[in-house]
Formats: sequence, C-alpha cells, structure tokens
Amino acid sequence: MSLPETYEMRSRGVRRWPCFLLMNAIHLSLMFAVQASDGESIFFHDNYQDALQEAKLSGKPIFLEFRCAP
Amino acid sequence: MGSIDIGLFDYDRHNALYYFVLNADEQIYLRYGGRDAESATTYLNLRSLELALSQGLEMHASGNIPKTERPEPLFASQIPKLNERTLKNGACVECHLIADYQNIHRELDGELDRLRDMYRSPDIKTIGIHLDVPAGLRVKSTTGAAQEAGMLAGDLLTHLNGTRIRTFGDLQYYYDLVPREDKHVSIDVRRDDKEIHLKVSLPARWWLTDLTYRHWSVEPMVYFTTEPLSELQKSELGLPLDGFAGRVTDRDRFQINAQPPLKAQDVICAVNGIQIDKIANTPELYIKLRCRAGDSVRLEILRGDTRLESTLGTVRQNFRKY
Repeated sequence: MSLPETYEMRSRGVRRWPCFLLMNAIHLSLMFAVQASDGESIFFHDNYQDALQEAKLSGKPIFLEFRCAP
Repeated sequence: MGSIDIGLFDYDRHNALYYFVLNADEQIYLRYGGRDAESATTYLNLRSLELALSQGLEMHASGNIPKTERPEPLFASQIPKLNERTLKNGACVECHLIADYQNIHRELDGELDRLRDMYRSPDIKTIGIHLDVPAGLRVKSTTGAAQEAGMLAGDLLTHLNGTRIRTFGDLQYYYDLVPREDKHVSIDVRRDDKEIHLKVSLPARWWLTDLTYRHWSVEPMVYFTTEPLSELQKSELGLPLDGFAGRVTDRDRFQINAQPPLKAQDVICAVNGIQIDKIANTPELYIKLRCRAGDSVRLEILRGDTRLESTLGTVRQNFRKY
C-alpha cells in the first residue's frame, strides 16, 4: 500500500497545529487509487458539491477529509 | 466551506484529522478519527485506516445501508461570531473555531452544558478499554470497569448503546453522546463468532479529560492543580468528608493571578465559600464547572496551621480568535 507516504507526513506534523478547516473530498475509491500505485496520483476535490456530483455520476463512495493545515 | 452542512458532519472539532466515508446521497457509512488528550495521533494508524476504508467499500457494495434521520442542517454562517469574525473576513474557518464559537454562543444564551459541551470525547481508557489500534476496534487489554464487565483481550467491539460501530471514530463519537449522568454503557462485542452483550459501569467523572489542548474560551483557566485529599486527611483537618478540598501540587507562571500566590502543599478547602459539590472532586474542577471564565474567585487556604484567603483571577482564552 503506497498511502503511508502522504498520510504519515500529514499526521506526524499536526500534533500541536491549530485545526484549520480544510476539507477535501474524493469521489473515487481510495483503495482503488492505492492499488494503482504505479505513479497514479490521487485527486482530491476541494469543492464538496463537485465531489457529490461526481459520486452520483460514478456510483462510487466519497472519502471526506477534515484536517489541520492547508 | 459555506456550502457544507456541518450539522451533518458533526464531530469533535478538536481533532487534527477526521474522515467520513459516505455515498452520493450523503449517507454516512463510518467515521475515521478521534484522539485523546495525550496526542492527536493516538488512534490514527495506517492499518486501521485501511480497515476502515475496506468496511466503507463493503457497505457501499452491499447497498444495505440503514436509513438514519438527517441531523438539523447547520452552516458556518449560522454561527454569528464565526460568521462575523471569520467568514466575512474571508479567513479560514478553523475547525476548533466552529466548536469554540458554538460554545461561546451557548454561554451567552445560558445554554452551555459544560459536561456535554466542554468535556467532549471522554477517554475510553478511563473505563479500562485499551485498543489494539492497528486492528481497529479489537481490544488489546482491559482494566477497571471494562474488565469487571467481562470484556476480554481479543474482543471486537461492535455496538455501543445499540448503535453499530466500525471504527474508533464511531466509538468515540457515540460514546461522547452518552449522557454524563448515566451510570452504565452497553457495549456488544464479538468473541469467537458469538455476540456478547456487556454492561459496563461508568465511574464517577468518567467524562473528565485534560482540556489543555482545546483552547476553550469558556473554560476558566486557573493555572494550578491539586491532588484530592483522602477522607482521613479531610477528617484530620476538620473538613467535610464529601468536600472537594485538594492539596496544591503544581502552579505555573501564570499563577501570579492569585493574590497572595498559592504555594505547593497549600490545601484549598473552599471556593467562594463553597466546600462541597455534587460533581467536582477538586477545587480547580469546581471552578471550571461552576465559574465563568474571567471571574475572580475567593480561595480559602490552609497553609500549615494558618488559614488564609487568596483571590484568584481566572483567565478566558482567546486562542486564534480574530
């Protein structure tokens, strides 16, 4: 699984950060994205309505993230 | 951010990271996140995230999603001080600001319930549940109330008060909804393919956590800590056995707000003339629960054989408020 690179970089540094609201949504299955680890990047929507719309069209679930830091 | 229904995506806003898995109809499958007072990352782990996502995908594929009532919509613009000080200025809506401004308004409206609104996200370790974090809701070890209820290492937590839970985020969210006056919580576990129902006793002050990292504006900051006196110690000092007297163990530099200053080993036996409270077991907890941030309070102190009074100015935090 190639996710640790991005995930751990984020989680490590935020311990004492103020909790900026940054919400990202991706409509696609993260697992799919991770499995395709041959350089394919994960695209995060930064607009919730766009993500909802794409999820409706694709029939895929949404992975919604609230996190500290821009 | 203005278009997001934060009423739907309700969670403890003092989490550094929080995730939802949902479908295009905005039915939430599960949450991933949660923390304790010690660290923002205690319960975050790549393996448990993978487990959570797998469960979300299974739920999505099954199409068998129980219908739940959608919470009352809430948008950031409906929180007046947040709207006035942040949104209207084009500033970033920080998660913790949402929660703090909500509490500021509750306080202004006389509706602040400090046990529910200030002491968010009780720590499951207080009732003796220690999780094997990479394994999601798999129990690593138990102590105290959980052990007494029969919970065992290896159990998989499945329901809390009848609500299906799949992640620590789910567990902490629904545990936070337990009324603070409740004496028990119902937890179902899966053990050897059997579902087992456990009734776990909630000890006194099971909701109590260290609020330091939260920067609540509504929390009176006192900058000292005490250790509760034993009944024997209270008896020897002629103090009520059910009182909240405590011996000062720590003071920090901001403690200059007390005149005369407190000293280590002082016994604080009353606050504003009050010695007994049905909830507080220490003077600082009494102040946090019963006084308004920014108030000055009168402390009655025993210092050796001397009885004296000190006036303490509590502090209202203004962390990252514009």
